[in-house]
Amino acid sequence: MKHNLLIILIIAFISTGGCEKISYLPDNPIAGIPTKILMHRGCGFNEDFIPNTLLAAEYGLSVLDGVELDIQISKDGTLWLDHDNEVHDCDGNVVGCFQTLTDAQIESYSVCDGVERYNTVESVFQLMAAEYPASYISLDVKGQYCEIANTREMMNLMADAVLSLVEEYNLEKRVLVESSSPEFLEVMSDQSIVGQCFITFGDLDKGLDNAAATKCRGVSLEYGIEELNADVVDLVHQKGYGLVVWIVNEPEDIKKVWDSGPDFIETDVADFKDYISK
Amino acid sequence: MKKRLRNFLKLALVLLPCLAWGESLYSQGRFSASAGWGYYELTNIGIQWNYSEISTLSLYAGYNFGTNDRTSWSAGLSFDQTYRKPLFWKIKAGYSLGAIYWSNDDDLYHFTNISLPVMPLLAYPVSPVLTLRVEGGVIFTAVLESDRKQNVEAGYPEHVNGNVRLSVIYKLGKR
Repeated sequence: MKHNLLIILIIAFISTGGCEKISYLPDNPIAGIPTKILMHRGCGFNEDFIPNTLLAAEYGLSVLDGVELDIQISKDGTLWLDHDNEVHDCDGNVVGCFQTLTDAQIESYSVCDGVERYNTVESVFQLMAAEYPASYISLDVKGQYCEIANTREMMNLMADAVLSLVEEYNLEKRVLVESSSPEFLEVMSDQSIVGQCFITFGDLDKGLDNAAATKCRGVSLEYGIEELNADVVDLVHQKGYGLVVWIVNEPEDIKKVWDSGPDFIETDVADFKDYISK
Repeated sequence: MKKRLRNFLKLALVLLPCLAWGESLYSQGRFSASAGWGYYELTNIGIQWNYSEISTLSLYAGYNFGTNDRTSWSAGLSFDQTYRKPLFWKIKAGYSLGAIYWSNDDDLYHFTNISLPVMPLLAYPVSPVLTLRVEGGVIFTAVLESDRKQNVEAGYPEHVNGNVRLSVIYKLGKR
């Protein structure tokens, strides 16, 4: 007991030496890429489409550089598009969670009045590979909150499913994933075909810290909380990370954020590029 | 005027027992003053309430007094227990758990944080009223506020770090 306590104290003393209270990221400069614009939820503000569906994605891909879509995973391990973790019937009643329903069950609720509401991520990848091979897609990995089974296993499964689809459809370097799940990002840390970004709600420094801890390639930053300008974007690139900024919709913000030069901007505005030249 | 007097009397009714209780505790040596240095606690002074023979509640405040190019201050509380039986010579072992609210301000950043130290301790009674104490352990930190002042460096407080604290404790009112 006495010896154990002494050992603990000695380790504590040694561990204190050299451990700064604030840790700074080393420089690891990257060039960044010319800014790409992604349509939020596939269709942005366009109400002719249901957000996070194949049709919405097709619209977004046709008007901007790519799309941002929310993803879920089914009991069968298939990736589906949707913002909410609950699956609804045509009357809006919750019939279960994506992760507790099979693909067949989800499909049975997917069409209402002839309109498809639930599509797989694979259907969008098929479309991209066939018609938009130069476009980008960002997958927002939603939390599986509706019925928590085994988060680690579920998130690992989602990450494996994303990587497998990217390989299958040859969409290397065209797919981003945005997540704040360490379990999901742990799987993503050891690959180079998908750009993984840590989601941060406005605090860029926290985002960079988390990105470093989870070996992410970039930060997915909520716009409008902290000042964003070209110097801030340069700092992110200087430290070796890419930057995704969401959601930029107001004309004055569009110009400002575009001029700052992040790698990706997510928007709901289809004529985003018209505002850049104004 | 009468209302004021009534309020004053009410206040006195509350305060007098507290003062009497405080004086009683003081005379029993239930309070100690502490001074020292800690990696996160900084140069600090504080007061301890020795509410049992082995247990203490402490409140302290610290400042870095310009010992580096930062401005830092801290305020903390801790719960400590020291075992009666000496470990060796007269040195007693124990542990300290607490919370520290601290800031770090320099040319690069302003951070305000809350840290939770978990530290084993050794206490050496120099005399019946004076004790030297050394603590070392792990500290867990969460950032409450961050403000970057430049766009050249990017940093963030360590979430888990080592900590060490040295203190001199003087028992007050021991008769």
